[in-house]
Amino acid sequence: MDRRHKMMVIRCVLGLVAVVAIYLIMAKPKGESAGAQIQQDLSDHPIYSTYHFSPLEGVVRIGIQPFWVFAANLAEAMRRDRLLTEDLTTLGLRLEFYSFLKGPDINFFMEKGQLDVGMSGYLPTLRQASRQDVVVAATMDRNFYDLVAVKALTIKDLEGKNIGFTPGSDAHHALVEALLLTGTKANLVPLDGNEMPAAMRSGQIDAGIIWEPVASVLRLDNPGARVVYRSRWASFLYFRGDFAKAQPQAIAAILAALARASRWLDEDSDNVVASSRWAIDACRALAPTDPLVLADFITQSKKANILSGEPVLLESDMDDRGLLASAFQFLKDEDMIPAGTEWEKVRATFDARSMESILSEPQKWRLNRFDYENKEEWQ
Amino acid sequence: MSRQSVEYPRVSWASQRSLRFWMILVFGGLSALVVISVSLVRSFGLPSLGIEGDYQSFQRREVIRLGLVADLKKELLQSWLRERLGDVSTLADDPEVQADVFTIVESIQKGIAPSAMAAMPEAIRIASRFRSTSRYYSAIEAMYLVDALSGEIIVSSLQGNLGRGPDDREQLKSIVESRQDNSFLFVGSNNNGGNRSMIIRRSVHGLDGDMHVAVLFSRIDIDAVLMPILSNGGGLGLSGEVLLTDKDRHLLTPLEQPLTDGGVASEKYRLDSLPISLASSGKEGVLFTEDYRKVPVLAAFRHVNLESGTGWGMVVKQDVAELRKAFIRRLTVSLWVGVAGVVVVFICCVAFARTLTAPLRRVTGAALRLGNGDFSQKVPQATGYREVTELTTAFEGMAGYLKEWDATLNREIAFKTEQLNNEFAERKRLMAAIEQTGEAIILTNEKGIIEYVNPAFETVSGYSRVEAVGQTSSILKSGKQDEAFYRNLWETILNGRSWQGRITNKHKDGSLYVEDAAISPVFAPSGKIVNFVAVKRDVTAHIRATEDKARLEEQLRQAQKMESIGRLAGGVAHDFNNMLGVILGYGEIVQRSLAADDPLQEPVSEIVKAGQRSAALTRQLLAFSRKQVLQVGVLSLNDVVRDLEKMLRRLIGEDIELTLSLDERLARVMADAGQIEQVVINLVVNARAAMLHGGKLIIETVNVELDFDYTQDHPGVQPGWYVMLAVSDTGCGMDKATQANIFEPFFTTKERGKGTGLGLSTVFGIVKQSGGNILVYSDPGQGTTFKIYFPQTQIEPQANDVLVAERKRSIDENLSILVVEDEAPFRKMVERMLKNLGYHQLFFAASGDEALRLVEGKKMKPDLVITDVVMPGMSGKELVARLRENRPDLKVLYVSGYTDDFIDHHDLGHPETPFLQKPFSVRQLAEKIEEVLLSG
Repeated sequence: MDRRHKMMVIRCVLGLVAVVAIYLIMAKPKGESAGAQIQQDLSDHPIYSTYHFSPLEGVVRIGIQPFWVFAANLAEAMRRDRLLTEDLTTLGLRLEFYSFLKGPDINFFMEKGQLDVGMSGYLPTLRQASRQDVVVAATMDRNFYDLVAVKALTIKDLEGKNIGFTPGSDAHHALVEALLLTGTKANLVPLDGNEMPAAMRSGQIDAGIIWEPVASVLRLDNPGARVVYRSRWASFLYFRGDFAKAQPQAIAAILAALARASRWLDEDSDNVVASSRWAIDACRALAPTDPLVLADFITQSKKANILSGEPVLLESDMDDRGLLASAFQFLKDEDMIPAGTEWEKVRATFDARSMESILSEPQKWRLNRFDYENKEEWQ
Repeated sequence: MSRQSVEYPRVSWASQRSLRFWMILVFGGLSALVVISVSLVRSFGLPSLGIEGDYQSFQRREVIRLGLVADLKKELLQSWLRERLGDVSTLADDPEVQADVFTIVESIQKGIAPSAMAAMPEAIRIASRFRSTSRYYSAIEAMYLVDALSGEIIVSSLQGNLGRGPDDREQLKSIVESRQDNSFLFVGSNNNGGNRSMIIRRSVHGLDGDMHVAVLFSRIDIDAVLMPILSNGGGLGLSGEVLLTDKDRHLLTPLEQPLTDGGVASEKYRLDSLPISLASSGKEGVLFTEDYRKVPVLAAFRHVNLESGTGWGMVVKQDVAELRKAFIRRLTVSLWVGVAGVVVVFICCVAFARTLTAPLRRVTGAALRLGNGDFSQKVPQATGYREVTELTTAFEGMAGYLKEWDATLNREIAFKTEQLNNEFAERKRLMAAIEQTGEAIILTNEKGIIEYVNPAFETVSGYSRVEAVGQTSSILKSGKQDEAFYRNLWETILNGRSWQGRITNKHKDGSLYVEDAAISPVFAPSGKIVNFVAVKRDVTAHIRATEDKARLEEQLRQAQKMESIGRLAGGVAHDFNNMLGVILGYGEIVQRSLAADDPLQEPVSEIVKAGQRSAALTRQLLAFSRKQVLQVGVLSLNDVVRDLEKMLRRLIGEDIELTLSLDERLARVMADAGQIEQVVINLVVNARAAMLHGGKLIIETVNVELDFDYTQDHPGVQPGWYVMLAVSDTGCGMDKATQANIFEPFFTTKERGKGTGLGLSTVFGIVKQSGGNILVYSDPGQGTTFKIYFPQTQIEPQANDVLVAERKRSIDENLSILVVEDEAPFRKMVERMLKNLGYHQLFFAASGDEALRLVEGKKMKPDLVITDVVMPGMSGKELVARLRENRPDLKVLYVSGYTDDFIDHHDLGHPETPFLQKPFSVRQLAEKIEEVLLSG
């Protein structure tokens, strides 16, 4: 190693130490750990306390996130997939969908055994995989988190500013990583995604890192707001372990429905428009929120569709230097997962073969046949 | 009077500057400040107020511009990639192609050689489609169809490479097996001159959609198509560059600049710069950072997503130095314009100031002359501005007015000056008096804060003027007066009255002193109290002298009292001794004359014993009155104490711990050892009585020097070296009243009948008679210490100071003895004693004269004369002197009731002078007569 490389390594190490120290100060402005913030008891949540999770054996309970381009499009398509309904009926099952504001909320109810299937970003997925017996079987979508800021052009311009983020989300990881890499000190303000537009309007935050469609709402809502930083993420579909063991056929049907939905959305941009309308309706049904601009939702959904591809688990995501390994280390550093959790054990919960098997038999799983309820009314 | 003679008062630098200077400075300076401020604000804004300047706008614009360029490049790249994927997908998903591929694969499975496949109509159709696609997009170098099972090329857009596969077959193998559709693979330039290429993979399924039968590859020359998309194209200036890497940060495009070490980055070179790391790991944004050359750049980093789920990193960057160049050029121009504006403003200010100040300078000249007393000077008519004309006119009027005033003022000044001089002289005298007076004077304000003190105060209090001024008079507080005292004082003076009294104050060094003070308020003309003045005299020395005098008088009174008591006791003892002599003498005679079994023997014996006890009491009285005969010798008090130690331990008992602390270098004293023993015993007995429940008794000896100060406090004591004998106990102690009387005879604190009250008076008498001094220190409950001081002596001790005749002599019955005694009963008693002893040649005389007559008339020659010392008429000493005129060897024995006659008045102080103390027994008389007769 020559002198230049040595200096670079030393600088990197020193920089890392410095930014870790800065992060330790910044990331916990209220003396409360991020881990503590995401471990809330949601039993009395104003929205979720109204849900009645079916206790029947023949019901498959799926937790979805409407405030989430493009996973919401996929989920809403699956909800309306008559072929999926048919497959499950054959198995003596039926589906029930429950909407949530963010991934950690889905995990809370899955941990209580009230949900069988969940979908969330990589950080909540990893966290659940380290805490509960789950099977991660498919990639839902791929997109970017946007750090939207007013009066700032680069991350460094956010020095000392208030930045909204959702604790325990992928955006949390992306934000901390960005601040560390650029050596920026900022005040982190924990907020749910749907709270962020109001917070930025009121001046409570100067910037917010969030996924679509809220990122677009922030940009449209605040003149001069810009995306100063973006970070790629992936989201996953996962099943409770005991459910996966008991209902392998149901899992295959659900994975096939996901692959089908992906292909359906890929087939025609009109399908993206239709699914976006369904997703917006689901958003409005879930929580009063800022008016979502349909056109923008559709635009973002189209972009996300281009990025997403087939819903398979990619080896590049799961290798030891990939996105998931990096996020796993972040969770450990933040004490958001048990200290003794091993990466290999978490890695083993990711099952790529099921989806690959389904994709290799498109005829059998009717991957190229599309039959969705109410699709026509959006044409 | 010339202008040069004007003397300007000493004023600040600012006041010495001219109006013109200030006009130029203020207007010019302010204008320059405004121009510079505006220029700076315009350039750099006010970030704290959220106001953007040109620099921020420039930065914002550049960041946005670079971001847009990066977005455009990314969009172009992704569109191009999607198009290329579309090329492949169109073919792979075409049902006709799928059917033909299926037929070909079936043929292979049936054993047809790959070389024969080229003739198959299906292969010809597919190859034709490949070629038309390649023609449509010229950058496509080749398209292959590879059998999924064997991995061999079954259709190619190129001639002659069926079966054996392309040169890059090995490179294709991995993606054939990966089953990852829509994936991209970069292939470097090869040795055969092949271009850098990109290969796109796509599976071809059977018609049922489930069977994966072949893989379609499209190979594209990226240097021909990709590089133009990513090239600078001029939009990024001279230093702009677009970098593209794969997900592992390996370069996909060549670098335009050399590396920091001068080297050229080869293909697959791994870039370590921050924006590339961010972009390749899926991040997007804009940063000011350093590039691979370590040059500051503005970099927009983008992540290019690929269908396979991975992505490339793209960085669009431009050197900061180039970006700033335009801004700096604009800033420079702006600054120069600003400077030019400032110069113009200054020039205008100078010109305007000169015009404005010219008439003022003329008026100023006139004013200066006026100021120098030249009132006859005509004020010049200045022209220019209305204000100046008005000023000139007003100034002229003022000059006339001043002229009149000048004369009046001069008279006033002369009068006031004389008045002030007188007052000043008077105050100076007054001040000198205050400063030089012996009384301390303090001036305070109405709150008691000291404003002035005179030198006498400094002397008395120890505080310098600097230390005292600013303090309150409480710095002198001694704590000897209570709060009520001060309250009364303040009430008095605050009510406008004077206060007089005596105060004990504290000196700076902490010592106390007493002052007679008079404190008075000082009123302002309004009647309000503005100051307090205190005049004080230090009377400490006077009080001390008075107290000393009283104390010495008291001591003298005490000494005189003791002396009187001594004389009284001595006198009484003398008479008692005479009478006791008779009682004891006759008692013994009667006792001797009675038979041993005579019934009167016991009563007579009791009479003799009572007489002996009375004689003992009388001896103690004599000791107190210092009228004993001392057997004085040179001795060490240590020896006396050590000899007594055993006896003293028995005396005090086991409850009391005796400690001796004896100075081994103790000097010697002239004293009677027996009497000193008596002193020690009496003091020890006294201590024992004070320690009924046990305690400690310490006897100490030490050499001490009593200085002049000590002797001043103890009349009768001479300065010099003494030996101190101290007896200390831890007993009950005594109060001052008791201490005042303890040395008086018959004074006792014991119960009646328990003590004679003569112990300490005996000690007192012995000490005084030995030339010493005794002091007592005691407090109730704190024990008692007696300190006795004996003068030291330099005389060496002799072996036998007191010679005792050991020789015995038988009684010479023919011895002629003349007894001279004025007391007839005593004379008769001595006669009976001498006869009792067997002497019969006895002659008696009642006085000295009678004795002389008896000797001279009867011509007798007495062998021994026994004479009283004090007698009416001739004393014993005179008688002996007369008798020894003829008989120098005449033996004489003096007797006396007390010793002062013998020692003091008759100057018979030699220790060898025979003397017998009244009363005495027959035996004592016999021994003394024998001693006298045997003496030389």
